[in-house]
Amino acid sequence: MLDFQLMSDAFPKLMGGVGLTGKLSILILLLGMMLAIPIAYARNAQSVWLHGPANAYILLIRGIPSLLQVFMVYYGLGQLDFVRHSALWPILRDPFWCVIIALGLNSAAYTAEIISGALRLIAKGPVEAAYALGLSWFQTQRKVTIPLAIRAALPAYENEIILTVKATSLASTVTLMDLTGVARLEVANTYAPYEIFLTAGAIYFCITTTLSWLLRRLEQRLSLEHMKTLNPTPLQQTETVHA
Amino acid sequence: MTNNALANSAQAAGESGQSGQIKVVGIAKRFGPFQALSDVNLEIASGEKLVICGPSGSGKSTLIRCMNGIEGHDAGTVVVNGIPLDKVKANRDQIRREVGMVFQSFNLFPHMSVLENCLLAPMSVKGMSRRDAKDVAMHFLSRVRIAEQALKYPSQLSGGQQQRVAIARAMCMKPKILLLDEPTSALDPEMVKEVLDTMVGLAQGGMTMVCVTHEMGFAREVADRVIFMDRGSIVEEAPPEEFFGNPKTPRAQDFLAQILR
Repeated sequence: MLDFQLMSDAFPKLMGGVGLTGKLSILILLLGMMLAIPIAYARNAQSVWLHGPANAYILLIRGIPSLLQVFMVYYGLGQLDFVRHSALWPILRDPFWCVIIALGLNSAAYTAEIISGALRLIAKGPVEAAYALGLSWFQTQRKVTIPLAIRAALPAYENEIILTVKATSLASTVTLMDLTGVARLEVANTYAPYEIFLTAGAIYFCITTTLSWLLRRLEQRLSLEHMKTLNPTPLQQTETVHA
Repeated sequence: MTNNALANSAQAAGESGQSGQIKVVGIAKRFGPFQALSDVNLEIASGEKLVICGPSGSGKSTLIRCMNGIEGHDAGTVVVNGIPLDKVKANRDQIRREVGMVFQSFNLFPHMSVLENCLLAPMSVKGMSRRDAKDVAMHFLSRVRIAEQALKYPSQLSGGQQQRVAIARAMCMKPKILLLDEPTSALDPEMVKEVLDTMVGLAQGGMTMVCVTHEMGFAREVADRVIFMDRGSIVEEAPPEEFFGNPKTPRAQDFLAQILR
């Protein structure tokens, strides 16, 4: 039988780990996105010197378990002399940044795949129209391609966000006290793995379902289908009279 | 709204500079093994209305798309308003400011309202203020009789309305030359007329127009000259009455027999 008293005692302690889980998720997704955009453009490029490395990177990252990637950055880099003597060592020795680097690089590969797919989906017509109107490549990307790609990518990116939030639990393996880290500590203190992990699982579930719901709403708002149902107030006639 | 009013606005746009001529010398274009254009020579005078027709795959769309560099050509030269269309980015950018284009499939920006569609280029390319760009946009949107739909999105409009927005969007850059690539081919029959009427209105101004179309009524009413293309070459060129009434080459005769059926 479940010990509800134990679960409600553990709940506030577990919530103390949610902050770190959130911070890790946000930083990982940001780093992932920053790297993913150039990788996605490279992946769609004609030149083999661009799409070759991008494809190789995505293939490599997707082929190795994320836990191993976290271990490689956290334990592996410290083995290398030049890393230990570099200016970056204070960052690379900190497990917090190691997790962000490892999972950020990981997320970059998946996100790049999503974005490059979305970029390929964009209809050629509006892009051509932008060029014909005299917009530069950069202006066209910013005003036409990327806004359309975001709409195409959102459903898949929602999945990536959820997976990243859950993947932050790997941080607990390198001493960090995120939600899972706190849960493991509590289990060690109480010898009640069932109650504690169940509570932690419920908290993850609430976070991910809320995120999912919010993202669906955003997706609907942005969707081109939704625009059909908009009912704008007509412009005032005075604005149309102009010689 | 009369065609005259539309003509006046087109006139104003067309005569902001004197020139609007296009010179195409010996251009060729190949898509893989397919020779889309071979040694095409064409001179279009400022203010001329030219209609290009021909069977599908004859290279007419490719030719018109080479006139603003949306399609690159493999050989030969294209000179627009005295500016060579070459690898130099500044030349290409300048040409695209002066040449408007209307596409078969409208190609409106689906995530922007009608008004935003018309504001984008004047603001981004010409650096106009939002207020000035909006004045210009509303002017042309009312000229194509769609001003009251300015805040709607393209998906909320019919095909004919979308194409009229696309024409207004091109006109907002006040081009000296307007290229139209089968502007009525993707439309339901009942919408063809509203778009053709808009085009006839534009043609009464001084703007140079190059239109790929099979609409003979439009060609007869508006065109100074019709060119007929087949297999990547210009096969015949003549004033519309002569071309439609008395085509000289067998290929043009076959083609006309088919579209007239």
